[in-house]
Amino acid sequence: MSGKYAIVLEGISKTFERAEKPSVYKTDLKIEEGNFVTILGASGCGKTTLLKMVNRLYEPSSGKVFINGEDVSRISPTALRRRIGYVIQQTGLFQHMTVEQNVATVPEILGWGKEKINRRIDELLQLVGLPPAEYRKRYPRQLSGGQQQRVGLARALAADPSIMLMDEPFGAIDAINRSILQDEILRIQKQLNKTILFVTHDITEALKLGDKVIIMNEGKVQQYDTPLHILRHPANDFVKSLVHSDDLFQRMAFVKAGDVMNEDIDSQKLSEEAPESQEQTSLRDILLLLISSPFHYVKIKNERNEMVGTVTINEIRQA
Amino acid sequence: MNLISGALLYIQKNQAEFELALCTHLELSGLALLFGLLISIPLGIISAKNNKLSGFIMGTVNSLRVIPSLAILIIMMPILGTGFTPALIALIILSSPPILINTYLAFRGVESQVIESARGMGMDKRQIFFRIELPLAMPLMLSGVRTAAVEVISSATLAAFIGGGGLGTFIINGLGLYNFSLLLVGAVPVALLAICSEILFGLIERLATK
Repeated sequence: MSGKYAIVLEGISKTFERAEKPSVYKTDLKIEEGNFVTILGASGCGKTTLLKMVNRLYEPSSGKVFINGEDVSRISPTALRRRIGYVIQQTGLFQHMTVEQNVATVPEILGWGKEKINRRIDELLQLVGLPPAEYRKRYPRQLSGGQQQRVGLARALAADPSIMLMDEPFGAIDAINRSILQDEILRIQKQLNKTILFVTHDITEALKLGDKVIIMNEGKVQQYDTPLHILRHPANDFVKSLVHSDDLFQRMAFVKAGDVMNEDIDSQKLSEEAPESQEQTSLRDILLLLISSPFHYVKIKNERNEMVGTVTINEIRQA
Repeated sequence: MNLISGALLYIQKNQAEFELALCTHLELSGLALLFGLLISIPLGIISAKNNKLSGFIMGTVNSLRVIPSLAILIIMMPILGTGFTPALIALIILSSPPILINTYLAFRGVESQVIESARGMGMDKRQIFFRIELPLAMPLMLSGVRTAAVEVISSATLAAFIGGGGLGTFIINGLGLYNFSLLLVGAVPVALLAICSEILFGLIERLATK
């Protein structure tokens, strides 16, 4: 197996006992190291089943799963799962344990020393934006939904797994906090370069987070591509109607400024006062900026606040 | 007032007899509770995990609960005769419904998502049981044990009916002799024991829930 793929699925399928048809039909997928891949689909489409076959919570009916080139059926399920981060909806935290005990779960199973675990807890809580001094000793029930999910994320990252599986982690969180958490997970992923497989039924979330998106329906992968490519070239009618690719205004909500901007900024004379925005901003918001300003372009900056391009009405048309 | 001083006087005069009855009572209750725990907790856990067995076990226990304590003690007589052992066995049977039912409900009540996330993090069955399920089930289980303890201590009084000894002996004799002071020698310590055990187990429960 090639080493640069973090996760490889070879002819994976799953039919549950007494089920009439497979939950997941024969599927091949390759997920590159350091990629953030979202799996998008309605409930019952097999997306969670697919995810759970990666860490052997479900055993596939046929086919093989490889992580970092290793056949997972040759690794014991518990050893495998300790190497893979796993985050589920809200309630997965252990209510009888404090935040620090929750985060320490896997390191303790792995037998790390006390000092090392302690340092790791501080480091992780810092990373997910919960000051350790304030949050270490709290119980999950004393935290908000968003904070609980941050703890869940810290816990999954504890033993520094290279692969993270996330099953609708933000599904039960209100829209405002969900958007904040999405930005956080993007930041953390960029910072730590994890391979993430992220299940969601929210189209905006899938397209916003994914370097690549797997679209599933009735147990089959409909399309596996970059968000931009999916929007521009939907593979079939299902994908087309899902992402509203014939509705320009809808589509603009999913295309990011960074995907279409004109990167040739040296030849342009840019004004100080022209409106600016971020690479992650949707074209819909960029259009709003354009309409409400006297300039015919919007300046685009990257995370380090450096100018990287411009977007005019021409770029928006091409999207 | 006369009744109480009479009771105190009786205890003073028959100290050895009183202490023996108290010890028997405690021994009877303590052993019944201990065996009850050893039998009912595993059965409760098995019922919670195994749907096929749970119907049978829980059904049996629920029907046991309907039988009055005295009836269980009396039923023991033709089967096992009189004395300490039949009384002990009857009390073990009495102790099991609250412990078993609460254990069953406590383990059933552990959310499946919590167990799934524990599995997903790589805990094995043992670790999930001892680190997750047991601590989460503990408060409800302990409240079952508390109910059982109080029930056993009170019901141990009836052991005297089948010659099992204990503080109930004074009550029966007191009733028979129409001597209310003697009756109090049995009744008051039993009430105190029941209250103390309620407080003690309540305390344990609170410590475990913290």
